[in-house]
Amino acid sequence: MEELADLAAILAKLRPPVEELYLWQELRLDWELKDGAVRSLASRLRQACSLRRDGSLLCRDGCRREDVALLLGLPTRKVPRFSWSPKITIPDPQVVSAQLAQEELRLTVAAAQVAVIRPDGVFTSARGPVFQAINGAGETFSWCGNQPPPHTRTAQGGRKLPPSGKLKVLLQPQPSAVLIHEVFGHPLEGDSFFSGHSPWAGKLGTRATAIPLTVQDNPTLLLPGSFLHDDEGEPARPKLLVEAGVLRTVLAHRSLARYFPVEPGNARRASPHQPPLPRISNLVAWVERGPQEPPLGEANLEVVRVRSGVFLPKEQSFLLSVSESYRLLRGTRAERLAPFYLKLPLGPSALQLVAGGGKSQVVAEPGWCSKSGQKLPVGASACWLLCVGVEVP
Amino acid sequence: MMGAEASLRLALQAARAYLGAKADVFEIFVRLGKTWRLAQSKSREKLKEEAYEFGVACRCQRYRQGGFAAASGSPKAAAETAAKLSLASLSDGHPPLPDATLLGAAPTPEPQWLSPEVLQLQLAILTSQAVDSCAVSLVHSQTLFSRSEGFTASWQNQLLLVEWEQELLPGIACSFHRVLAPPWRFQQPSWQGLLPQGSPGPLLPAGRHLARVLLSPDVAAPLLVSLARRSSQPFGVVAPAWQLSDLRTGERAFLPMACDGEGLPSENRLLLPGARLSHPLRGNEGSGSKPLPHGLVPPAPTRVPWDRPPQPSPVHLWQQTSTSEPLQTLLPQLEDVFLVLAPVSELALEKNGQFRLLTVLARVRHGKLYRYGVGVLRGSLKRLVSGLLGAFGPPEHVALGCVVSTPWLLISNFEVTV
Repeated sequence: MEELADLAAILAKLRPPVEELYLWQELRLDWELKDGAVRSLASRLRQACSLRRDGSLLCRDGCRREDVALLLGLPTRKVPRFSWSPKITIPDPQVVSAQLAQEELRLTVAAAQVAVIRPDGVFTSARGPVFQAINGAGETFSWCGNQPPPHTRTAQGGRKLPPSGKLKVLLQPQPSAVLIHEVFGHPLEGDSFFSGHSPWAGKLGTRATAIPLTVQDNPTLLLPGSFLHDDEGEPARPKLLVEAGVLRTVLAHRSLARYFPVEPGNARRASPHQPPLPRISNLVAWVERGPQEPPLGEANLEVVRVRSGVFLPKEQSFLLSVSESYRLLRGTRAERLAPFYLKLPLGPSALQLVAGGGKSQVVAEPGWCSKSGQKLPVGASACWLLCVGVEVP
Repeated sequence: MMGAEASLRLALQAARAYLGAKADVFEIFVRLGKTWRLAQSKSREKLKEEAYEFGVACRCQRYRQGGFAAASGSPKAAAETAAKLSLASLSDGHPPLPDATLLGAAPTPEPQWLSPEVLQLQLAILTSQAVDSCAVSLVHSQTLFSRSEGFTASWQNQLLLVEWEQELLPGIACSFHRVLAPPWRFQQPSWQGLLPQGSPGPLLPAGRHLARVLLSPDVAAPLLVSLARRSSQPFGVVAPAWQLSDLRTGERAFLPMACDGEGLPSENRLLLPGARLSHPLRGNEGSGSKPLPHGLVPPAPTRVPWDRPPQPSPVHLWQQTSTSEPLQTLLPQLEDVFLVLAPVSELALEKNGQFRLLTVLARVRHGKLYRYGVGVLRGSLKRLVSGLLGAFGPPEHVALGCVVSTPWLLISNFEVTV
């Protein structure tokens, strides 16, 4: 740390001013689990450094003094001697595999260490280890810590077509988590919000759902998107994005915090080769004082699993790519439906949720999120939700 | 790429020195890449990026087990780390390295290197169009492949990439990724000029419709990549209009390489052959269709990205054009067809080859584009293989992890839901 502090002192003298020097090292293991055995093990150790200043991002593979000197445009002798070789520990693939019930999976575990060196200090932080399992259908499940997901099975699609007309749909926690990620997570990322492309732009302090839904971004939880310092060195802060149905704040990085009254701490990047952006970490959603059991008798359709979601802001609707769902008849599952898209309209200003509740459950699928070409692990925990006015296009 | 050769050789020597006494057979793959990128965000903020990447991947065999590892950093350290980790990764399940007698290299020309200054001009062209955000990138790379028996091959590549986001309908921004070919000048997708002919609105009564669809290169590209990656799947009948190849050598190949991911000499491979068509619009209604009993010919192994073990995967897919008439000339000949212009979502592909894709599509009636909106395209890879009626217009080059050069594809009986 002291050696890196000497680097910070050099950065403080440079003009044009430096945003940050970023050092990164990542270890990743990939393997196949077949008949209970670890096969085709592959490892990757990547290290790189990058420098942001004056509207530019310079990046080099390697974290040596010579690499940093080249980024700074200084002779090597003018850069203080430093060594940065953090320890990265990764669990044994045999141990991870033994925790999983399914016999055929592709598995990955990745862990990284980062050091953010700014003119005002040095901030080091660990990322992961984050585990990911991909089943034969290409569905992904991500988790952190020693608690693998309860299942990694393929979604069970049926043959029956879904009913038409306006439907009342029960979303189980996994589809709820995807809905919340797309409807509240991305539109409340500061770059989208302040550029006016978000449907919530200018609506902080107003009600977004009729039910008391609360959505928190919390990087301090042991979920795939966790960190203690973000990729600009800011400390991790839980943020209430939606509080009891009312929009409260946005996710931001330091550039936004310079111009808008928002707290930074949400900058994430997939690697030093890409710039940090305000991003979701772990989204946790719950409904205050909601009933524990979902009202199955009130719904026409129960959606158990979805693959992805697309938010169409100007159309005021949201599309879910449903992979496992059931038609409900008097509160029981009458038939399994074929995969389809589900269209959830937003009201004039709000999501048409009429009920929600139950324990907020950790959701492992899909566990990653892509934006501007940067794919990052994200965590989610959500409760069940009941939506009205839903259509099958 | 001055000085690159010395770094590549240094890495090669370091990895060889480590693995020489410890592995029965091994291969070393070294890649040096330089990328220049200029990007402009929605809020007109500009970002200039420069990246230098150096990576080494080692694959080894010992006592009938295989190991793979990759590392990046300085040449010597990355090579030693990759070599060490590859031995630490020894496990069952890795395919054996090919027999040394099969190794060889195809000739590869040195690219005519473009200077990073070209990016300024391309960005100016892009920003003059109605795009929300955009970026242009120039990638130079140099690759070295070597086997323990002494075989060594090297080659160099260059790609000029353009990406942009555009709001085709209110609130619906679509992302486009293209590769530029000489003369290195960005051109808007061929359908851009057509949209003003129509108006946004309902395309048909709401519901599901079986229809003839004309897939734009941006929509066809992910389907073609999925098709090439599912080559082992039996597809039944193949339409005569197919001529889908994976290009790795010659003038048309955007990424010519001396050898494939395992050291076998590069070759262009026809993945999906079709019979000659007498009239493209009549398609396979005659007796031209033929059964394809064993699926597609798989693409040769490749290392894209460099830090993964070699996998059969396309490098540059090229679908032959049935007629090079541009779309504007073709439209008057079409009675009732959906133009599928751009993907809105990612392709959702099931294990059985069924897929769904949310798209922006337009309806053409009596040769004129009349309405456009959002709809779901649904079908199967099997239907794609059997239902191709023709490939129209000059190919456009889509970047999708690999390069896909494809014209518009006319397919019978895909399901469109609006």
